[in-house]
Amino acid sequence: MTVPPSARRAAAAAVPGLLPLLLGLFGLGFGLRYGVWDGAGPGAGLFPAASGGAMAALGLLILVTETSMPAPAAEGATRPWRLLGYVAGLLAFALLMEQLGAIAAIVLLFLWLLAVVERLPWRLVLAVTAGSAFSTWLLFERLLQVQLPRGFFG
Amino acid sequence: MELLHNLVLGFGISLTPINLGVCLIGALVGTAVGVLPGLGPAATVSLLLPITLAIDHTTAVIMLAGIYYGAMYGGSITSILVRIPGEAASVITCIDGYAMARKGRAGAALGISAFGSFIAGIAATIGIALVGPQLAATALVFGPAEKTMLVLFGLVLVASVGEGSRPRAFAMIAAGLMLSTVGTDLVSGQPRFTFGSAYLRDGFNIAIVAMGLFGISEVLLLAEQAVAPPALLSYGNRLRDVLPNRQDWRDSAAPIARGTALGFFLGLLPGAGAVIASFASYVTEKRLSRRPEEFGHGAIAGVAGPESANNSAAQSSFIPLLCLGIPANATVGIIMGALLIHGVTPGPLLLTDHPELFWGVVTSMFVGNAMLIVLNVPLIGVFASLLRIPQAVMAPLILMFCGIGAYSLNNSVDDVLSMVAFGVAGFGLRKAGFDLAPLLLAFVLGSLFEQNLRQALLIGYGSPMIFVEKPIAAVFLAAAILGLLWPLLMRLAARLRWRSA
Repeated sequence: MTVPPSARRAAAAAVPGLLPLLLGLFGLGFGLRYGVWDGAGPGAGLFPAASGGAMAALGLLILVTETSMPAPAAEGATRPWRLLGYVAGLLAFALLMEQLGAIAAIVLLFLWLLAVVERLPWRLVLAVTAGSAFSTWLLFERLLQVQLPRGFFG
Repeated sequence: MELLHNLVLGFGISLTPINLGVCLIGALVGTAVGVLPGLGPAATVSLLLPITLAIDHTTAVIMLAGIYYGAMYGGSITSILVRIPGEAASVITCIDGYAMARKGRAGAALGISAFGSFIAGIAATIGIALVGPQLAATALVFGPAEKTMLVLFGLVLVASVGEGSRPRAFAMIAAGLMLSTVGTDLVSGQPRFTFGSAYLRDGFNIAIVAMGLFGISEVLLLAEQAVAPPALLSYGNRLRDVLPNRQDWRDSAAPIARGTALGFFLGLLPGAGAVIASFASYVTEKRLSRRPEEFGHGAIAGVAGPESANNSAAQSSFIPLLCLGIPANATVGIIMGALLIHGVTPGPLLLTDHPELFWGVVTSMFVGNAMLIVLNVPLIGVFASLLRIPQAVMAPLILMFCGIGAYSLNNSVDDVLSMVAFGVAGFGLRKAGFDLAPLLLAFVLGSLFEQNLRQALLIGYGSPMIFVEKPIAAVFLAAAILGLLWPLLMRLAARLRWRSA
């Protein structure tokens, strides 16, 4: 069964209202559970409950007032695959940093983003990668004395 | 006399080699990010936040402040030469700045924007030195009830004056406040929204949230959009070409003065800041001009006024931060985060507890503005050439900086992963039309708000009437309610006027 485009558009238009509504209800629920008031005064849950409640109410307001408005047109050409490439690269960088070491992770991140995702010429890729890895080591390790992870090479 | 003594103290700090060096770095980096479309001062300040942990807090704020006002100088370069605002506060400069450039007067436009920014920067700094201590002295009498209502008023202003729809801005404020409660409750010791995770027990670090929301989400937006490198208009390459002539000065003197005053006032208001100041200045100049038809076709007043206003506002926005502990915009909010990480709480007591910080930063603004005018005018060509750096190279560099910076905060991969999560969330929110500045400001102010709210309620034996009984708190509350209802009142007034007509 295929979803008609009008229904898809309506669902997309509802997201900006639904998101704060659900998050707000989540905050309100947990706030109430933490306790809004104890014997001595305001409890740990007062602030989360109040901000969550406000967010849920605003989400509902957005849902009611803005869903009927036409969705704004997307600006310029979009490149969703590049976007996914960037997120994947960043996640891999974070997860491999301690295993491989920071400098090796930077080299891999740059090779992935510049050569595979952006498809830049190899000469530029290698120059930018080498320059970035060296300047990171110089700035963080030498100048700022930050202990970067060394990984297998430590 | 006391002012003179304080200025001597400040210059003694801001003129040390290390502070001169970081001020220069801040000013240069600020100008560069002002030039580069996409990367704004908020993203850059958040990127450099981890680096500032390794240096003294005064030195850190001198550098971060330099980035902010440096960006105001740099933003005009792209607006004038390529009609792409390098920075949001320079959007309005595109209109007459670019029109001047097309008429072969790019040099004069660049020159007057740099000189206007310099004059405004110096005047605003004098204003900070004069107004700041008075405001801080007044705010010393503020107790928890007054502070609670002041924060509330500030947040209402941020949501009312900022970009986009008001319900969305208020929803972001609520989200920021809720986010600030993640971690152990300092009063009861009860964990909130931690779900058994040891990492979440201390709550989210401001640097992680800021780098994710502004740095990573910016890169993801750049990655998604295919943007071709812009074509630059010529401005002449000699210093002489960017020096305004006598007629330019005559046409610009009053707009610079008005822009400076307007910017100074608007910079004090949370949410208003440099962007609104530049627009307000443009509208004012057009209204006051004897030749309003020239606006849009290369009127120098349309460049001089807004550029002065945005720099003046950028600098006066430090007054509410340093004297009241209320950041006026996202960039200043991140600078507040840097101070909090250093264990310094900005507010009325800052002037007595850390006079070296206040006066060091204020006097560094004189030094920074002087550096900017000396460097900016002859180096416009160098800054403009930054536009040739491919976006595909810039994006990984920013990601790497964010990643290493996030890790260096606590030597933890969890921080890097949190930052990525905030980045993806920030990207999604921006695509859905939410402004992230209210979220970040509410996150920064959240714990202060909650702490004072709870203290005030305890003092008032649980009754919220304390916020009405205390006169100053009542004034802030009334102002917040007025700010909240302002659009409705305006609509009502317009309807009544329409009916009577």
